[in-house]
Amino acid sequence: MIGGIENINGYVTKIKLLLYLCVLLLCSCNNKHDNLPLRTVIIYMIADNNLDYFSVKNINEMEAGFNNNYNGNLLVYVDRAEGATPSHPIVYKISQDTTEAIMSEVAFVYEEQNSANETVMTNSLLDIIHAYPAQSYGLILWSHGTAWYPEGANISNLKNNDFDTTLRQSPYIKSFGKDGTDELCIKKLKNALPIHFDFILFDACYMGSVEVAYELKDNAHYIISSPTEVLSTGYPYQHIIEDLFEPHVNYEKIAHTFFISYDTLSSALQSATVSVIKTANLIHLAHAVSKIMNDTNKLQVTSVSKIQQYTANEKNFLFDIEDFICNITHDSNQIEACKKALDDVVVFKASTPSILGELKIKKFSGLSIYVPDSSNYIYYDYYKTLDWYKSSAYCNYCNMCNYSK
Amino acid sequence: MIGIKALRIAIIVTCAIILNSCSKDYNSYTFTIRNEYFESLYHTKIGDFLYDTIVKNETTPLEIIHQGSYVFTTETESGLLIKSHITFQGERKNIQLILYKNGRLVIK
Repeated sequence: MIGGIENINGYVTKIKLLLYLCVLLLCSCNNKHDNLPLRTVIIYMIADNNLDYFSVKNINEMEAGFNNNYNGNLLVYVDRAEGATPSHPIVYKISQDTTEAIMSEVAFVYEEQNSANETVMTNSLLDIIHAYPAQSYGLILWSHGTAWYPEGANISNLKNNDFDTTLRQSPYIKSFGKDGTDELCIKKLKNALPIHFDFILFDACYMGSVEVAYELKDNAHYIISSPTEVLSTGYPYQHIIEDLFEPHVNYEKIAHTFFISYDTLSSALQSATVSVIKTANLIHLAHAVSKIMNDTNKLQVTSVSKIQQYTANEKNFLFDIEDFICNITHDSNQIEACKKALDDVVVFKASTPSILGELKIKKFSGLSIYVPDSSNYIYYDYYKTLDWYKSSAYCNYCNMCNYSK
Repeated sequence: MIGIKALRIAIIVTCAIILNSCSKDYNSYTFTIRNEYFESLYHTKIGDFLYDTIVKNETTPLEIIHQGSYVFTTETESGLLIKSHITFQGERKNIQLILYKNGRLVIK
């Protein structure tokens, strides 16, 4: 009996010791995490295209905006065009510099590779993340972009033009993921992102779409993007880098700084739309839209000509989501519920009166959506593979359209 | 113009130190440089030794260098300038410097 008690005491002692070791282990893990820099921000630049000139310009702006005392590291993966020095991808660890040259140290060098390939992107991001661990991570995706549209969709007339030096000061646009003729579609992009980021900022055209945001909702807490074209000069990095290293990033401030930098310009250069998307609320928006889509007695097909477009020349690719919702049902309660859900998703939005002097922005809810039409129905099969299509019961609307490819 | 071009060259700085501080030092060491980078290397310099071109997968002939610290510099075919600080000391007499494809100079 005494032996039994001794045994029990022995077990209790062992359990206490085990718990103590666990607590020690947990404490050491926490300390290790706290000792890490606050944030690593990665900028993934696919500039092996007609945007090459602007990649150098933007990296210089990042050096000008960076302070070596920031609690974190800014890493730029850049794949420049053929003929550049160098044209193979490199990763700069950005340091403070105000000269016209890029003076930052090169952290990695890669042999020429297709940066618009999902495996290449994953491996390159992981190289940086492993070499520069931090408490949190941010990602800026810099390149051409075509919202959710798959490879080969020619949303912008200007997108595939050859680089022309005379356009350097003109409102040349940039739209994500174009390395030569290869592109990274939104589903591949989603699979290529190896970790969950605090934020993803798209310095690329058209990525402010509900389909893109919904596809990437589990990859980041916030997404900053533009539903329309973004001018090739991109974000004013010298003014936003500091904000990216704040303990609590003020996304609205970053978006507003971007917006102001274009809204204060004149003529066609006064072109910018931007929105900050809180991804956690996207599921509620999908639910609100699905209620409308499932109420087929009230659901009605609308003409694309009635809805605010986000592509120049009314090419019928991207439309304002709120304007679309208002046109497909007369149920005011459902519309209000959708607007409320949309307000919870788009926590900041801003738009200039027009884009490139030709696209008037009369209605702007901050997100674009696909509206099927005979002119864009060839993309419908691909659209059906998107998470948004499934979660929002979009098939009910598409079935009513009765278009054929 | 050359000055501007030089300024535009990005720099890779690596630090390759041959450490064996507690052990015996020699007055001189032998070394070779092996190029495992994915491009040719131009104007490679270490101490008084200068190599005009080291092509991919080439190893330079064996040379003798005095104990001490040196700066290794080379320019890649794409125009990247690679710079590294190297100290020859310790009991390993035969040193192979290898430039790997990720731009890092390592000692074998």
